[in-house]
Amino acid sequence: MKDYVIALSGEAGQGLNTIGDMLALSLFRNGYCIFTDKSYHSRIRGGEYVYRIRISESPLHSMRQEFDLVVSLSKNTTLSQLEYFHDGTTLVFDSDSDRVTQEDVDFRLNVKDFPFKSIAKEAGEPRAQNVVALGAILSLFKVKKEIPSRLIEEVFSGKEEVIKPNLEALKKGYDLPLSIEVPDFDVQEHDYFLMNGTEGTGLGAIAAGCRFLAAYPMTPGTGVMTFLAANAEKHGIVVEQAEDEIAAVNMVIGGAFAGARSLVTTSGGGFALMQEGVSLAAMTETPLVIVDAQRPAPATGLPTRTAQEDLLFVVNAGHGEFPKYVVAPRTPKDAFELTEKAFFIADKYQIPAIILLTESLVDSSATVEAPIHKDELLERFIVEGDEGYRRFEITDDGISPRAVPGGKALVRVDSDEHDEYGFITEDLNIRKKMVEKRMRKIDALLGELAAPAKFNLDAPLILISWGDSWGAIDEFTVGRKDIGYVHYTEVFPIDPEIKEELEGKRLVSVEGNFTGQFASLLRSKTGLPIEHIGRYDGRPISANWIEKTLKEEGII
Amino acid sequence: MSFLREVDPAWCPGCGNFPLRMNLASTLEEMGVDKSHFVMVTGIGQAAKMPHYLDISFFNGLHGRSLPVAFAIKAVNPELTVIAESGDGDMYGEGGNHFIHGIRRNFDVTVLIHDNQIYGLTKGQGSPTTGKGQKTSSQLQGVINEPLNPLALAITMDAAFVGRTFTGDKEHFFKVVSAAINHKGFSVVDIMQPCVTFNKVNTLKFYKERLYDVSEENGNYDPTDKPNALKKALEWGEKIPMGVLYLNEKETYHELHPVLKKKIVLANERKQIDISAEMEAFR
Repeated sequence: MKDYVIALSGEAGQGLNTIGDMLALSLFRNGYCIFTDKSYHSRIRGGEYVYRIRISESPLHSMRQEFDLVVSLSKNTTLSQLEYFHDGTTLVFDSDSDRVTQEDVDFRLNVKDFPFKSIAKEAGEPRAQNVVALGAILSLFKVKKEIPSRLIEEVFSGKEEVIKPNLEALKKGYDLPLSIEVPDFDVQEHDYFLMNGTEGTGLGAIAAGCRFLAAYPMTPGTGVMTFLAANAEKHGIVVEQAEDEIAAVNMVIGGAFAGARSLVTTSGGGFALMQEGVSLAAMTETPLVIVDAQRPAPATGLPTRTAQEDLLFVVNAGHGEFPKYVVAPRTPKDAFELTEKAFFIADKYQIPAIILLTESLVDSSATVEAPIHKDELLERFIVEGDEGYRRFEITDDGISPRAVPGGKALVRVDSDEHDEYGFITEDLNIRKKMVEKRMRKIDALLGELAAPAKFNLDAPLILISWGDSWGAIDEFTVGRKDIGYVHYTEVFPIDPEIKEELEGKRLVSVEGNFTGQFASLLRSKTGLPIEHIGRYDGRPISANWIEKTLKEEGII
Repeated sequence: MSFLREVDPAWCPGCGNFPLRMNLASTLEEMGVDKSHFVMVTGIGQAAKMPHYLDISFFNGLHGRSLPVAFAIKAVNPELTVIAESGDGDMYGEGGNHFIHGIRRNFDVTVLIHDNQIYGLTKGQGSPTTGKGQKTSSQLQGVINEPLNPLALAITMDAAFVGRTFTGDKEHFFKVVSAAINHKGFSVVDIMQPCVTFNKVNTLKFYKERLYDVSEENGNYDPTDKPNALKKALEWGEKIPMGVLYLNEKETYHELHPVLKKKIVLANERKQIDISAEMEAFR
């Protein structure tokens, strides 16, 4: 598929995010399909910051690592990106700035320089150099000028004195002859949405009727918290910043106990602190929904990079034995829909449901179809109860009628083992019945799972994957006869039925970790032999990386 | 309406928890608390078993974590009366961080701490309030850490209500605990009680000889006078003050919160949600 990759290369604090968003949104509104990601250091000012935009005619869901056009605002950052240059890469520089020169590199450099800063000064706003570059790039892609003009008016709304020179800077940028060859894209008006994983998850939570969120800030999970905070007043949501993750998870359990759909967001280290809370939700059979946006670990790891390292930890989270539901969305649309489903499953089965995101999913904007909201997933399964109410009544499917305080029933809940009324017990026969009751829920839960995405299962080599690597897998396998894939987004529990379809194939899992965590999970449920290739350098999985690694391992 | 449940509590004979249970049940009954809108949240420990011996709704959660749960219950359903109750180890040790931040939040809750200055359920280790030098099963040569002064801490942080009472005085218990429940905001009541099994220092006799009510000392105690309240809170020796030490009428979490001040109940179900306007922002 025709595509083009632009990298805005600079330092944090140079306004790259604003200009990158404006560039992406202008291209998108003009009919292009867009996929963006950000490569940055864990700091607010300085350090490398690269905003990448991939342009295509129909939606793609992964980044191509090679840059076609680099707009450089920082020599140091650009020097750190040289491995992503290819023969046709064009480097655009401000003529007044400290620049990468031919002497700095050992390949032929294709440089274009323009006096962005001086042009901005002429336009009456010296700080608008990024807007000049924005105009120059957009004119290259024949984007209608009224699109970025409207964005400038929105961004600087109310500040006429800023809008005017910025519009002038934009115009001057449009008039610059960049004369760079770009593919001839056939674009037309489309009906897509441009959103990232944070926005998909946050919207999904609002659509699911989430009314209470508690969290302790931790990159890259913080975005969902701030997204809900920004929408809190309109939708009647309480967003509380807790003193620590232990408080956060206990708050969310309290909120759910009292009857509100509640959410806690975090990343791996914070999730580690929540373990006793996960177990508490299981014992008290309180619905618990957690977002874990993964980053490379152990310990503090790499806060602003991506990984799929928490899977087995999350699947085994909490001490003791109990059912749980774990999803790993593949796109922002998927994040929306699986977040809604996670709330529904948590309520219906009264179990912990964990939404496993990655840094690359939460930070990447993708072109997606409208997420589908279902009002029927708002069903809460809450009963009124009466005088003899038993919160933990033993039932055939293991699900006890759940009442909340404030009604006719007294609702008693205990983290100790308890009898049907919720009173503490050390009667070991009751204990046995309670374990069996809790575990029985798995039978019905398996029936809730959608089948994994499947492609070309007749092929001799089948790739196994999960979560947001789907875009890269799909791009790599498209049109190939020799390779198929099975991709999971509901990653736990696993229905072993898939075994029949995969028996006799060469199976290779492609994951963002060293040990092949999903491979071992699937192997333990099916007994199938599964090989593994893993990416654990903090970068997202791309189609090129899959091809290169499969070749290096002699698999293709 | 009785708040007592007919049951045989699993405490040691002579435990201060027995009178505390009776006093609490009669306080709730005399105050006419609406049982259908009452929830007790506890952590873990001998004190935290309390709700099992009362006829109420409760959430008996994790060690040290009663306050985050209580906060969320109150946030989600402001119509509920919420009491968080636990021992000194639970509330001041494992849950110390939540105690500090609970005061900051000033949500409307009554916090009852059974302060027997020792760990009971785990058999006699020192707690955050165990006196310096006291020998315990884990500090065999005596505690070398300074004891926490919960009342002084709460007063310096401008808690809404700070009081102390005693399991051995039913009338005093009613006076302080009912005032705490009626007071809006984060209301702390530290309850002095003996542990007959593991604390041989802070006995019933110890307390009876020392405790006096601040309002009865000279008849003009002003609980809104913060420096004086702090001075009282720091008094611990031949005489130990109790009663309502500090009162602070200030706006609660619910009164200040942009969503909750509209008096909405988050626990109410929704049958339909329209997010089409939010979706449009992503085109």
